[in-house]
Amino acid sequence: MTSLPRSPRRLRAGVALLATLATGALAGPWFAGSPTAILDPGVAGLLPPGSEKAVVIRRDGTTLAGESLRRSGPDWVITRAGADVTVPGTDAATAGVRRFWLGTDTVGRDVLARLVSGARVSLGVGALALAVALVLGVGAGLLAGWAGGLVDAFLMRLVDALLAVPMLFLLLFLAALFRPSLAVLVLFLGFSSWMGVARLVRGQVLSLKERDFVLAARALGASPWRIAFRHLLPNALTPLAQDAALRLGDLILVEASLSFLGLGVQPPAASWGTMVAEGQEVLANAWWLTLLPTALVAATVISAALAADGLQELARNET
Amino acid sequence: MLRWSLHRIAAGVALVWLVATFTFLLVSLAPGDFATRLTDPRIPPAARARWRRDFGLDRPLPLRYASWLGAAVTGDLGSSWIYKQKVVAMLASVLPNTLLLTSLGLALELGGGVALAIVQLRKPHGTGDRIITLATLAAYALPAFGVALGLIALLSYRLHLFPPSHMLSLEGEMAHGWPRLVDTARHLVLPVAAIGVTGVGAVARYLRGSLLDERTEQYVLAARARGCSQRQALVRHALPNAVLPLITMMGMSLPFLVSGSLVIEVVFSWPGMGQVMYNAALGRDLPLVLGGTIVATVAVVVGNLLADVAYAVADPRVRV
Repeated sequence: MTSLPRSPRRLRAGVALLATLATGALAGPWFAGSPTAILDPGVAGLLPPGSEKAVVIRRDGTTLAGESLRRSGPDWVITRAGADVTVPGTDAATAGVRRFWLGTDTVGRDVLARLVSGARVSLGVGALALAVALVLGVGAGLLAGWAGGLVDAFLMRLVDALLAVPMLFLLLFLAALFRPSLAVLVLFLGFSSWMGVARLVRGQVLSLKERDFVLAARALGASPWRIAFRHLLPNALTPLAQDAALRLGDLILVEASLSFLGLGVQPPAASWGTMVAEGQEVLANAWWLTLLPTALVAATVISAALAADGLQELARNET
Repeated sequence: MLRWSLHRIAAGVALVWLVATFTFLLVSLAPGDFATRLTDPRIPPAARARWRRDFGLDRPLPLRYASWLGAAVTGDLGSSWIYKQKVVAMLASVLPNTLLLTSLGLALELGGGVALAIVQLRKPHGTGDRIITLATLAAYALPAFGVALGLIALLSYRLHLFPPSHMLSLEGEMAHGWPRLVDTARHLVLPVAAIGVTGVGAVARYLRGSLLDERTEQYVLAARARGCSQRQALVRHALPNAVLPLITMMGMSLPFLVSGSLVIEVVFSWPGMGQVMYNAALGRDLPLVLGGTIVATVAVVVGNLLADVAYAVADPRVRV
C-alpha cells in the first residue's frame, strides 16, 4: 500500500474543533459547576462575564451571595448589598468566593455550567438524529439502488415529495401537537432528514453496481448483504461522510431553532436554543446570555462545514 | 405541452388533497384537542364540552372530514377557532406581508451571494477571497434567531436606527400614503437583513465552488482567447451555467417565500403566515392550520413548476 495523502487541512481543523466541543461537553461536570443551582438572584443574577461574588450555600440548599466574605469564629459573615449577614458555621455547606467566567443568568445560574450542559443536549440530539437519518437513508438508498424497478420508483417519489416539504414548518407543527420528549425529538429530526442520504447512496449504488468488482463479488456468490456492506458502502464513504458532516450542522441548527421557539428541548433540560430564548428577554442589558450560545451553535456548524469541505477536497483527489 | 400541463395540474391538485388529508388526520389524532388546549384546571368541564359541541369535535371523525372537504372544494375553508375570522380572509391579509418580507430577503440573499462570489473570483485564494470565505462560512453557520437578536441589540437598542419589531408603528398605523410607506420600510430593514445574512452564506459558498470549476472549462477559456476580459468571461459565460442548480434551489424556496421564515417572523413580531401558523399549531386551531397548509402546499407545487419552466428557459437542452 502506498502512503496515504495527507488529509486536507480543513478536514483536520473541522474534526479537531468538533472533538474539542464534544470533549468540553462530556467533561463538563468535572470543570463546570451545577447548571441548575440558583444563586441568590438579587445579588448574583445577571452578573457579566468574569464577575466575582462571595457565595454561601446553606445545608438546606438556599444560597446567599454578596460582595465579600469573612470568618467570625465558627460563623461566616457575608456582606450582602452593604449589610452583614451572619451564617452559623453549622448551617453552611460551602462558602467561598467564586468567579463566574461567563457570567450568570437572570436567576443567578452559572452560564458556563449551563453552556456546557446545553452542549451535551445540543450535540447529543444532533448526533443521534444524524445517526437515525443515516440508518434510514443508507437503508432506503441501498434498497432503491439495488432493487431498482418499482421499489426504486416508489422510494424516489417518496423522497421527492418529502424533500418538497418545508421541514422546519412540519417539525414545528409536529412538536406543537405532540410535545415530544428528547428521544421522540431525535426521531422526528432523524425522520425529517434521511431523504438526501437516500438519494446520495442510491446514486452511488447505481454507478458502482455495474463495476467489475461488484460483478465479480456477485459471481463468487456473495450475498447482497455482503456486497452492500463490504463493496458498495466502503466505496461511497467519502461523499457519504461529507453529506453527514453538512447534515450534522443542519440538524443542530434546526434543533436550535425549534428549541428557541419553545418547541424543541423542554425544561428542565436546556439546549443552546432554549438558552437564547431565555436570554432574549434581557437582550438589551445582558448580551452574554444570547451571544454565547449563538456563538457555540455557529462554532459547531462551522467545524462541521469545514470537515465537509475537507472531505470534498479528499473526494476530488481520490478520483 | 397541453398534455404536460394537464398532467402537472392534476398531480398538483392530488398532492394538495393528500397533504390536507394527512394534516387533518394528524391534528385530529394527536393527543388533546382544541377543548383541552388550555390546561387551567379551573375551566369547568361543561365549558370544554360546549367548545367541543360548538366546533363539531363531538362528531365522528369521518363525518367531520367529509363536511370540511365538502366545504373546502367550494373554496370555503371555515372560520378560525381562535381568531373567529374567516380563514381565507385571514390568510389573504397576512400572505402579502410575508411575501413582502421574504421576497426582499431572498433578493438580498441571492444578489449578495452572486456579488460576493464574483468578487471572490477576481483573485481566487487571495486575501480578499479568504476573508469573504470566512465571512460567508460564519453567515452560513449562524442560526437565524442569533442574527436577528444581534441586529436588534446593535441597530435598534444600542444605536436606535431601526424599530425592533412589528410592521408599523402606532403613527404609521394611522398614516396614509408616503409616511406609511416610509414607516413600513424602516420596519422591514432588520428582518430583511436577518434573512439576507442567514441565507447569503449558502448561496455565496455554493456559487464560488461551482464558478471555480467552470472557470477552467474549455468554453470559458475560449471566451478568454477571443479577448473577453476575465470578468466578462465569468459573468457572461460561466455564471449562467453555474446558476442552473441555483434555479432548482430557488424553486424549492418558494414555499419559504409563502410560509415565511418562521423564526424571523416570530422574533420580529411580523404579522405574516409564519406567525399565524405558529399560533394556529400551538392553539390546535384546525381550520386555520389546514388553510395555511393548503396555501403552503400550493406554493410548493407552483414553485416546482416554475423551477422546471425556468430551467427550460435557461438551458435550451431541457424541454418541458
